[in-house]
Amino acid sequence: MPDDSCFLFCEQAGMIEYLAELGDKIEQNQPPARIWPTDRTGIPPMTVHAKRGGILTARHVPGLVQMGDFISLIAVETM
Amino acid sequence: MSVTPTIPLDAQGIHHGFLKLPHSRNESAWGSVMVPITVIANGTGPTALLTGANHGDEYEGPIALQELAIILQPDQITGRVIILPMMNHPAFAAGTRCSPIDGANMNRSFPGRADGTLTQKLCHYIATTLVPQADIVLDFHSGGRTLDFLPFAAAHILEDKAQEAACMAAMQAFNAPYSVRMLEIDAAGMFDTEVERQGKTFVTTELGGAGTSTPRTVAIARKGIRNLHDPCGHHDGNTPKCTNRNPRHAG
Repeated sequence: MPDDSCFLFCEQAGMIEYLAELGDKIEQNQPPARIWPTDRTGIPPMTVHAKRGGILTARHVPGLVQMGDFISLIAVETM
Repeated sequence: MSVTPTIPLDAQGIHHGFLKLPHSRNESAWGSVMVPITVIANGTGPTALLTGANHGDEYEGPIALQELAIILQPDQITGRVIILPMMNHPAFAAGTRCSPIDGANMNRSFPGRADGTLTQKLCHYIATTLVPQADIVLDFHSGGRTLDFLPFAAAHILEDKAQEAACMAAMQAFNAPYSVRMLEIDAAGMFDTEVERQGKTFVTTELGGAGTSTPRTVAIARKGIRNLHDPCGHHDGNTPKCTNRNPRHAG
């Protein structure tokens, strides 16, 4: 966990869909998750982008997220 | 009828809107509960009713159906798809199994009552207006916050063997990793029971649970929707074929 770029936080409340499993490798700018609106249909989700590459090490539960919730920890394998 | 759709249910093309149900309360004297709905129609053909969040803490169905509502194009179908990704919206918004408004479990409240509680009114509208228009109903469930399942699609053993065969065929078409001939602990008041009573083809699921979803379980939901296009008569030239020809059966 080299710096703050490991952490992603929620900037839109909604229903979170993870696009990677814990343990999956994620490239920088690849989306570990996207957030769907919960009050209407027909609106695309907001995609969350990784600020660094690494391994998806922690994620949020349960299925709804609020503003500011922790979304993901992307840690770096060093050995 | 106390529930009114804000969009036409029988128009061609794509319409996104709400089922509007008046809900007078301290915070909003003339307020409403708004249940999101999308209707996609093209030509004349069968109607599929696809529902998620009958229980508000189950997420594979809502995610897969929210996606379907933005990607499905009319020219991919012949007929109509009615999508309610968050059928029990009050419970979904609260992240709870039952409605925070009246404490009711939607899936024990069918066929509902026109003069009942909010959940009963919503059930009544769905049972008396939407289900009669449907040829096939797919109701997504998962384990919610207190259960966790092997991912399966399910159908019930029915007295009408032709109807049962149609339901089992839909279950197999969904092609989840497991397929279950499902025995209910308490079938009274279930959406399943009401849809089957009306003679419709009904398939349900249990996909994961523990109050969340995973890429794997959402992918099962997404693929199941595509696979169901065939038995309900819809045409999608891009529909991937079943990848698991021999799902395991239980029941």
